[in-house]
Amino acid sequence: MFQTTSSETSFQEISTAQLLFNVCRNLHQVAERVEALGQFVMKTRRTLKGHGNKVLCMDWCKDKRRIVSSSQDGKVIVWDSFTTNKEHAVTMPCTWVMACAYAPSGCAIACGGLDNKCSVYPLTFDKNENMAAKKKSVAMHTNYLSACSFTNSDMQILTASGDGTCALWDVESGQLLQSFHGHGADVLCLDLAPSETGNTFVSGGCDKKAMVWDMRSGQCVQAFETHESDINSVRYYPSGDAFASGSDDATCRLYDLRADREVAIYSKESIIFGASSVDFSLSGRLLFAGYNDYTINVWDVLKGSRVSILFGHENRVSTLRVSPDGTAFCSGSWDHTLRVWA
Amino acid sequence: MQKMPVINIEDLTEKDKLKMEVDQLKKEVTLERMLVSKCCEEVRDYVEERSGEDPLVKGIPEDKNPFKELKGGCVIS
Repeated sequence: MFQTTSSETSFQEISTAQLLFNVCRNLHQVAERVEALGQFVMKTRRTLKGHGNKVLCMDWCKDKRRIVSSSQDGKVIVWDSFTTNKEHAVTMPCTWVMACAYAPSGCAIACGGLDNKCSVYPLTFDKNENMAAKKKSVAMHTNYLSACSFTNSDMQILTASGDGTCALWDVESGQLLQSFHGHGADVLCLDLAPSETGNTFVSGGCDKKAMVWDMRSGQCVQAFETHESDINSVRYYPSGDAFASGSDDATCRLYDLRADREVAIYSKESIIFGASSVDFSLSGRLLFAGYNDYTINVWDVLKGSRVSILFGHENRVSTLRVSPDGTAFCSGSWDHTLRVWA
Repeated sequence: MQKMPVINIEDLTEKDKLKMEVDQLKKEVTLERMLVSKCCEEVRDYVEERSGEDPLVKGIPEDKNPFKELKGGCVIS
């Protein structure tokens, strides 16, 4: 910050100093000369119908075609998104299955919600086997499970909960490996750093904070509090040096970890409903965000402008993930369906 | 199966939560920060290098799209 040391300091000096201070406050200013993107036409390519109630969560399998989704009615379904066939279905003993995840091997799924647990189900193609019989309860929280994710292997699961904590569990033994305390309210979402960048993850909560954690020590290494309401979704930027968040304050924001601050905000006066779910395209040029006003907005990450608005869902968009190879993205909604867009 | 070491935020008092926050801030004060301008330039460069190969940015030809329309017949023109 500039300092005025004497009353003789000219008006010009002050203005220049102010200009310098304002010059690099965000990503959009740095990207001014980047070529703008053309108009996009993305369409719904598949509609997955079969859930009997609100779809709350979904995740892609590493094979880029299978999808697992979970719903308010307790059902968890595994789909082949190319053919829209349902390959597996299991009914959980609770309603509001708010979290589900595909194991890296593609051989199991994890899910949980109002049961306060995270359970793992091995996927089997044996028609005689009952999927529910092989269920393994791994995590146990003192309030609802809001998010879960396998780490780099099928052996460990990271969970986030309404009890304000996140935790790392060993799948085989069910043992708690590390717990993460620091949020002042429900934790709603989490995302693991891309494997190249090491052992950290980011979480977002009802305390409006996004927190970055060291998985080995359990310590919070950085925290960000610029949102004005609950953070519903967090997603790492492909390089691992930044992450995006979507919030009930109707904005999405980009936080740079090395600068330790917010560097971009994606908002419009006309967007007044909360963003429930965000994800990046493969290169990080596009940010897809699902909103409670039933739409999906596609943002130019560098320039901060909205490049497209996608209509189709007939109720809130609750979950959204780009496929592992970046060729499509899938959205799930309270209208009971999932859509694959490309 | 192990239960969480009990910490339920509903049980914490305002004072406990504020203390937690202050402890956290004390740790963060020592963080070394990079300049925003440099970080943003790196983000921009990272994206520009890769966006040419980003399927959702450049589009995929219909015949190569794994999610192309499922059609029964074919078009004869």
